[in-house]
Amino acid sequence: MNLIFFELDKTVFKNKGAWLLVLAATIKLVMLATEPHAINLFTYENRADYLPMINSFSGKITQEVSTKIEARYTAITTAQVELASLRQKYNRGEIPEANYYEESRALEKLLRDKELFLTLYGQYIYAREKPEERYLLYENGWNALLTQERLDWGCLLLVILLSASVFGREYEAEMRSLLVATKKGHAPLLIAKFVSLFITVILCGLNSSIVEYAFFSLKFGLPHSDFPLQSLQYFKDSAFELTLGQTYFAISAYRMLGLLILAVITMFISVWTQKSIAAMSVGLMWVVLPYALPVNPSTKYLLPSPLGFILAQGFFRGTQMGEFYQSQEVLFNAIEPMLQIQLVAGWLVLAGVMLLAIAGKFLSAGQLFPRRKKILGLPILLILALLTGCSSSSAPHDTTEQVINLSDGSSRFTVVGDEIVSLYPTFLMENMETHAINRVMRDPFLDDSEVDKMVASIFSQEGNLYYLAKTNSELRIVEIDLSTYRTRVLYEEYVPITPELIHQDLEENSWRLGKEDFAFFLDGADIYILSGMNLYRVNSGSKTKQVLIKNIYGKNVAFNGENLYYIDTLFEIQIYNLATGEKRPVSNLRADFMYMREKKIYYRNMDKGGTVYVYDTETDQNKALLAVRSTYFVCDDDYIYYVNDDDRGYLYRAKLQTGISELIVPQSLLVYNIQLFDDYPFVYFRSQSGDFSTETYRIDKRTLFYEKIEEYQHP
Amino acid sequence: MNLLAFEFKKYLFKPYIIFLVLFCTLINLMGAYLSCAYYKQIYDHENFQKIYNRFLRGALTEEKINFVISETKRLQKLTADQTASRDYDPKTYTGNLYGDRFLFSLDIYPEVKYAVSYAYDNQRVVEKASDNIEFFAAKNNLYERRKNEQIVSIYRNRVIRDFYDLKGMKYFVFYDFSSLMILLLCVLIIAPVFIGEKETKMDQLTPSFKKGDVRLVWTKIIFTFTVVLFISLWFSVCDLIGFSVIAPLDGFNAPVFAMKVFQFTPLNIRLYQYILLGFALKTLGIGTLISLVLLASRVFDRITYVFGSSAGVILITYLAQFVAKASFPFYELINPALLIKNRYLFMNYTAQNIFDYPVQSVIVAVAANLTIIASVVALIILASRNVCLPKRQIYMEAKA
Repeated sequence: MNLIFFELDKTVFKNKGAWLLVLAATIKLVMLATEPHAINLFTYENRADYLPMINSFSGKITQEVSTKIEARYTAITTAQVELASLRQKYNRGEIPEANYYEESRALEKLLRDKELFLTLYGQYIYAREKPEERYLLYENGWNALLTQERLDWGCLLLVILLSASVFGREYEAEMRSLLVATKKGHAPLLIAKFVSLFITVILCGLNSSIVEYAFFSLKFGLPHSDFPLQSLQYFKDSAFELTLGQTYFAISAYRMLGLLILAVITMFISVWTQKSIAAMSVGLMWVVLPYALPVNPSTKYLLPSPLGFILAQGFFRGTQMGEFYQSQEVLFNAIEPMLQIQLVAGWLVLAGVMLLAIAGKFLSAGQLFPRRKKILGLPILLILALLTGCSSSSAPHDTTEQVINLSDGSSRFTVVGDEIVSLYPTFLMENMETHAINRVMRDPFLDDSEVDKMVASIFSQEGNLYYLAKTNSELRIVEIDLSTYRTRVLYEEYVPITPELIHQDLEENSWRLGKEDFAFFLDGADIYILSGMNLYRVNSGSKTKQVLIKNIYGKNVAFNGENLYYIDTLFEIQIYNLATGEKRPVSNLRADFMYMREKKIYYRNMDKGGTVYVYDTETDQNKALLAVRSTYFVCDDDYIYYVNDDDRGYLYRAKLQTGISELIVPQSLLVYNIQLFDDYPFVYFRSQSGDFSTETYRIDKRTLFYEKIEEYQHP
Repeated sequence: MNLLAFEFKKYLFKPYIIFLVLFCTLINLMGAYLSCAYYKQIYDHENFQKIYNRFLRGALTEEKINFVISETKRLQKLTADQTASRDYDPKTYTGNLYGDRFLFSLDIYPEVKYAVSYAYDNQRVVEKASDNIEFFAAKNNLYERRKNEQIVSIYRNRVIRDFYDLKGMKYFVFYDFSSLMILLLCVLIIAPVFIGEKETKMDQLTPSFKKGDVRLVWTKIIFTFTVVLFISLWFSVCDLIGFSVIAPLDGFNAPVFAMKVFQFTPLNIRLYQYILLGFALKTLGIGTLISLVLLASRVFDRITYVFGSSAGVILITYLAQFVAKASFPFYELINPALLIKNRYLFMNYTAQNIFDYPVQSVIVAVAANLTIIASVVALIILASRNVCLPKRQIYMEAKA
């Protein structure tokens, strides 16, 4: 027993093994935190709403559960139509107000979680096919834990380092001949070495598994470990009747076996070459080279390397065929249980033979050398500096009445100094004085079509233009000083991809459909990005990103420096206070379009047939502004400019004081943007032409003469 | 010279090292074969080669261009209504009309079109850059003006005169597997260079030798870079031979921009020159990483730490992802992996703003890596000075 402890001391503690274990755990954590996870991002970001929903149905699909889900599905899929019909009836005066509000709120409640429920329903459809072996559960954690092949580099290196030194150090320090001459310098010594190393390797493996399990348990949750493995779609064809927890236990066991085999191989090499470095290098190559080889993923588990056991996850997969045009291609061949048993047995036999060979070689007579003093210098180990960004504190919020609206199209058309900047028909700018038109992006290597696909949104502030460029691999927000054209990258975000050691993507410029739907604005050091239905806040200093608001309808967001006003997917106008994080509805208003100026919200009232109303946030007064329906409008100090849906989509303006309207563009153009300027006698508007391109018009406010600006079509 | 020879004998000419080099060579060739086999699934190489060798190879004449256009149109017309026979037809190129159509529409026609229209597309770049010169001059933006002037001078008058099948060359350029093996082998050979002396206590004896002073240290340094050069050369030649046989390789004399992935490359050289340049940059990148291994060997007392830190650094650097962008931040330019995967430096024109002068990123990357190597060498020499005192000094101190 003493020998074992002594060997443990030599192998682990004298090599700073404890610290190295901590280091390996740290490396593992860093890699887990930075790798992309195989989760459903939508359910993860909305887990506060999704978890109660899925938990109420978790488990086996019984008849009762099935009935409940189907009933809710029917209710949700018809709710939208019913709500629209209810509104129409109310607007026609067929139902009283009280009834309308009661029924509409009930339907809105159903619709609130429609997207989430449909995701759950998709899972339900999958589980329903084989209810005995597929259960419903919140699967993000288990998917992240079990469905990704993961190589723990830290643990791997640690095992190789420690294994190589068990015998390698004895040779290099020429202690071998001395040791074999001692009383216990034969079988007991060898057993002590083997046992101490195996204990260490098992500790390393356990360390890795515990860190991994704890990480995913804390980050995503790992509920219902007793549910069948086939509950996860990834393992739908798995031949194993195991639970999720048992599967992870089996994977961990396989990994430990793999590490033990690797340790034996490394020891074997160290004894035969009598060099630690050779053993370490070969041990590493024995795992890394098969990992990098461009073979079918299932083949990696059958190569003459412990890599298969170290990866382990593939042993529990079923056969996977290609989809669509790849239908004849086998993406992954299941490794049958019998084959696995044969592999384990074969490797155990081989490991046993190697251990005997090690014993034979180590204990054979050799040349004696003078005993050398061991070098005990203990170097300072690598200290990993965890990079932490410094959060730059946000500048004090601008409390002026300047309101940023995303609904008015300012993410596509804006003003910077003397330049009117437009994203459509292409990314260009027009000088307000000379009317000279220039491209904004001056990169000679980018075509207009590439620029148009890449630049998703613009914003202006304090004489600078900002644009958001999105490609498949990155998102960038760039600041341009239009006077000097000096540029600066304000924020960069890369799509995390698993690095490939081989099989690079041969073509770097991948095909994309078109411009992506983004909008953004800045407030001090904070960047607010509207992507899809969510509003994110990014600190440009620390690069931390958080979801601020979810389920926003369209681009209906306004910001007055203190509060965010937005329309949610139930068409309710909400207010979100940045300082307190408190969210509340704005006086029970229902709208599908809004525009805010100073302290007033102009909105299309869905409860009043889509006519335009104005709500004063200071006085809480809500009144009708226009008696006609309009899907788009903007205001300046004097007028509201609007598209009149009741008059063929003609463009009108009405005096805010009196409400008196006048026709300014008697033409049925599909106007989708109206741009107003301070101290500029023109109004610009954009319409969509028959071929879906954008046409730009200019109206002289003094004479109401309007004309199409042809130069925009041919800059 | 003897010292150097001894270093080779001590660390390189070992049976297991030679065995591993040969073994890794075989694995590398296998990797090249599997790599080509994987990429070849995307394209119909065999039939493309038939048409290429028979009709298209060499100078791009009007006759060849018309042939491609007319064949593509003919096949599109024949297969437009999906009523043409799908049975085997020996009169077709691929065996049936639909295969022919895919081959021409998706492979041959785009390749020929790229070569033919390159001059026009390139001319647009030059014109835009020329416009930019005036634009940025008006904005007093010196850097952008100079950058566009540089672009005009680099990119003007480019034309692709000959047509080559460059698919094999593309697979070769994108092949990085051998770099990993070079790195691992170099770590194996170089890691014990200093640590071996310490572990055997020879580092206390060697200063008393006639040439055991700083000259020995320099010898080890020269040995290190010689090994890197040799191993890199060995595997690069193996890659070249392997891909020449497997891919195969064609178009050595074609300009680099003849490959679509290098459409906007700032290089105005031939592909065979690019291969040499790529080899030199890759060797430099590997040299930088191995110099860090040498430093670890000098600094640490145990081989375990040397290996651990070396393997960790190499894996982290090697797994670094690069994408071909319009610019590289500085921390990417000092990463030796960007020189190892140097194609990313040449896919686009990228420049760094050095005092309002546009300096191409490759120059900055090379300078950064040379600086790292020089710094590492200086550190090693400085660290060795206390041990390797000149003999005269030892004598003087002993006398005192």
